[in-house]
Amino acid sequence: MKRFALYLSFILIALMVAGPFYSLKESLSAGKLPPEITRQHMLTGNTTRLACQDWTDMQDLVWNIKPAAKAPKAVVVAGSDSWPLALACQSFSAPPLNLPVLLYENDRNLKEKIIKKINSFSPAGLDKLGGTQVILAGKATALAREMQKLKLNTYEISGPNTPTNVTSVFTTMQKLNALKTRDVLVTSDERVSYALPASTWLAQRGTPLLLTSRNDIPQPTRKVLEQGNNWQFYVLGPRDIVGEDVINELKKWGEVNRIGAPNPFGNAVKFASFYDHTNRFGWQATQVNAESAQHLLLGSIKDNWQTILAGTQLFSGSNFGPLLLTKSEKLPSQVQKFLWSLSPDWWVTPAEGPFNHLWLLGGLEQISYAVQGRVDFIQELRDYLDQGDQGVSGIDALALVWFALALASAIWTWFHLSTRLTQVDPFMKISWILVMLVLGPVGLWAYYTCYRGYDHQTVLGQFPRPLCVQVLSATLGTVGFGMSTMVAAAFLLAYFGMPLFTVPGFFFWLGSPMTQSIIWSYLVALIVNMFLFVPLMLRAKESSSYSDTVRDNTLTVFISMTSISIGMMSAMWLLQMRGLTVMPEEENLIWWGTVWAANLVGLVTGYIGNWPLVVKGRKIGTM
Amino acid sequence: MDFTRRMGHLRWGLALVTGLIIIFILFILFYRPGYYQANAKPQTHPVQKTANTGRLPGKNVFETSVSVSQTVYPATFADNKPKAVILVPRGDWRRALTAANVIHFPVDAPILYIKKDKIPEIVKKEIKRLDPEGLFVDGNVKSFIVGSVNQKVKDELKELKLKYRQFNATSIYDLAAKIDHYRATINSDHNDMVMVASANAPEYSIFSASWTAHAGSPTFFVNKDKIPQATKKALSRRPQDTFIYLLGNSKVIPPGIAKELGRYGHVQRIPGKNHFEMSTGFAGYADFGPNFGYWIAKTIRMFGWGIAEAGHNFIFVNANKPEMAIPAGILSHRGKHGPMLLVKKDALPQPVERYLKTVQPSYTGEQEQLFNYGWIIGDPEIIEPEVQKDIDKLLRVKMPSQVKKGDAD
Repeated sequence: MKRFALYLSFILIALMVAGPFYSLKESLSAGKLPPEITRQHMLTGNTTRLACQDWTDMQDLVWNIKPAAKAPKAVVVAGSDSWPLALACQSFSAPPLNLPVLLYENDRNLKEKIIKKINSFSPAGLDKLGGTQVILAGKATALAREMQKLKLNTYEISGPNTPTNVTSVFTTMQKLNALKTRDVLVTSDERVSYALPASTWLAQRGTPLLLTSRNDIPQPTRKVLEQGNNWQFYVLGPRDIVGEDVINELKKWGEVNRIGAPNPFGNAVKFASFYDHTNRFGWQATQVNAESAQHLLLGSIKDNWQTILAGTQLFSGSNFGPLLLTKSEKLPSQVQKFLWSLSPDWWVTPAEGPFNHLWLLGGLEQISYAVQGRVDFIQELRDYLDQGDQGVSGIDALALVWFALALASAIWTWFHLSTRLTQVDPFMKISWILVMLVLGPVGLWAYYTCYRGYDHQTVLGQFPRPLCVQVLSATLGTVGFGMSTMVAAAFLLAYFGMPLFTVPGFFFWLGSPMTQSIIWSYLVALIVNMFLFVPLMLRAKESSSYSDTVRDNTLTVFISMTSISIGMMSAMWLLQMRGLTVMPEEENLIWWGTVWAANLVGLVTGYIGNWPLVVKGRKIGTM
Repeated sequence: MDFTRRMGHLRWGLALVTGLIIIFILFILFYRPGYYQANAKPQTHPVQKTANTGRLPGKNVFETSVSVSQTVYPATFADNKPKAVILVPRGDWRRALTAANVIHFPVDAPILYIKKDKIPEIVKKEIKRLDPEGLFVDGNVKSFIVGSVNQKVKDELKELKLKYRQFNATSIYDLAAKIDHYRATINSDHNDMVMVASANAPEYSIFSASWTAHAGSPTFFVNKDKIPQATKKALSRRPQDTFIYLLGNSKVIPPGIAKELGRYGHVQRIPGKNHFEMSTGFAGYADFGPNFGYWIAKTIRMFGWGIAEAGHNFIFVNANKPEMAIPAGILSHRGKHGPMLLVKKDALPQPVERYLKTVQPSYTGEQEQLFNYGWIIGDPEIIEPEVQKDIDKLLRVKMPSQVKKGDAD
């Protein structure tokens, strides 16, 4: 029997230690997956996928779903060969101009499609630009003849090099009186992936773009800047995209803010969260704006820039928000972190919103279904208090800290018991360790209170402790094995599925899983303690036989256990059923959090229940 | 050394603890949960989207229920899978509305339609994709059968290794009461906020499915001339402070019935002259106050969406397709919680249009903006593309350039 009890107590210790680790792991684990997933559509609650074959396809798709505005004044067509120019042209899309921007490549099929598209817009003409109906930029000037045939007034942006073209966009916007502030977005022609995040901002706010090289400012750009010296520069890109020399030179003409991070993903995240209050520049997608919704565009680094710029057009007008970039098979850690920080919370009801929504650009090749599922999950609305699955809330963090303290207490107690109190009965030692595991640092305090100053007397087997300490010690005698058995039983019940019986009539609540779990864990703990642990713990003190010990102690164990479980179980019930919005599973760390909190309540009620037992002399605190 | 002498016998203990700590640190450093393993086949049908709406396709109730479940549960890892599935034999919209009462937490399961004698292939595929986790508060059951089915369906479930719980009842009224009692068993409490609908007017009550999925309030049925015994019994299980919300005008639920219901609690009627107006009336309706309890421990009641401002989501369903509409209620259980609004196949009814104009967001700025979004349930034959476009227009952010002079923005 002693051996059985020893094994059982090791199992209890193992469960109390490994249980929370299991929950921690389970709350992160992905579980098993079906080998193949077939779907009828690619929408999820918080994401929309714009699947396409190539960028022309994306362009069609976007202009299919984009809200039809009134006839625009003009249409902008940019060549698909130069990304800085196509990017700069996005600024035409913003108010006050609101011009659609299309991409064009010299291809017969595409030519027809574009011409048809331009016609369908039936542009009214820009008065300030001599009634221009179509602005052709870069290689798109090849369309000029067709436009003339259609009697559409054109305006061409075509210079000898890219910086010239980009500055032409700038000066054209000036001519159109579209630049209301002195803001300028500056990026270098080094790498497109570092410049793309600006696209949705340009398309919504209309900040003009100017181009530099990595280490010096090209002549055309210089010429424009020399118009004044009070520009607000927002330089997009890290040091190895836009060099320090460029920054220093820009300072001659105005104030410079650098927005950048060492990789394209982090760079996009930086731009999404950047904000400068001077002219309210930047999306400021941070917790500051938690009370408003975030619509986000997600492009794939694997995709070509044309697709992303074609997709950008969706995010101008009545839908807008930052552009993020991702790898196709996995969400980069910066993006994941950023999305977690943006995930909306609710306080009163999950209907209150606001709700975030992500638009994924590209097919499953570009952004995998797994990434979509992950993004959807992260952007889900969560309860502020417990932050849902995988979310780490304040109470999760507290539970984790508590667990760490409990483990440390248990280890310290174990060492202390085996070094300093070697004469204590082995079951008593195990009981102390279990006390630490169920009560955490409070257990350590109790240990200190029970033994401090009395250790020399324990050698003599005397306990001249004051009554209140004696009651504490008596209570802990039941807490160690009693509480841990109850917790273990409740955990196992939840793990294997709690029993549920539908009982007709008034006593329906008896069949409730929570009631069942309470009843069973109480009964198991009572029996195990009454017949196993208590007699074993007392065997050193009492000379009577096993059956006598059990008989003598039945009532004491019953009263002690019941008083503990009254507090513990009702606290557990209230916390799990009422305190949290969703009843926690054993797979959530917060399940253990509620258990540990309930244990403390159980200690208090157990103390009250043990008081008369000690006063009447039925129990002497032996711990 | 003194230390060695004192701690010597703890050698093994120290080694064990150090070992465990190292294992834990290694685990934290190298454990990478496989969130990115799921692979999907590309979709085959193009689905109509607009900037502010998404269409969940389906030409029949089976396909639509699958579409909805695919939206809510991507099932790419454990935490975006459901706990179970709710299988409802098609044929009676009231059965489906009753089944909606199973959805809410801690159950967390979508409604999928089956045939009485067989689980359709598409639904079977969906169940395999969802791979439900098991409901921890009910012996890890993985499926619910609402209503009676042939043995063959049960065999198929066994084949799929889905432990099930069946709700069987003699009448639809009894079924509602049974499921209500089941929910009460889980929560150790009957939900005191209940809806009462007419058993013969689906268009007046289907939109309550989204509220039931969101908040867990059950719907019971009455007839034009009497309150069925089972409904009476279910209502009387709430000994005090029942709040009864009537889904129907006085033609659908006569004043006599409303008066009689007063015996079981406080009765209120959801406003609306017709069913379209009532769906918007329900979306705007809210009733807050005290519920049950004594002295300092009084719980509160919060019934109704009460949505009269921007920043919300709406589910648009065809009022004439009740069975198709009800499973979509789960879109309010996860994701963007929001009310269900009724539309015609080929037109956006006046009251719904008015309501959408009320809650349409206005442009505020790049940094802080509220957006509305809408789900369109069913194929273009169920709700026509033109209706979707009209809805999109009313959901989108009103830009300053679109506001005419003199318009109150």
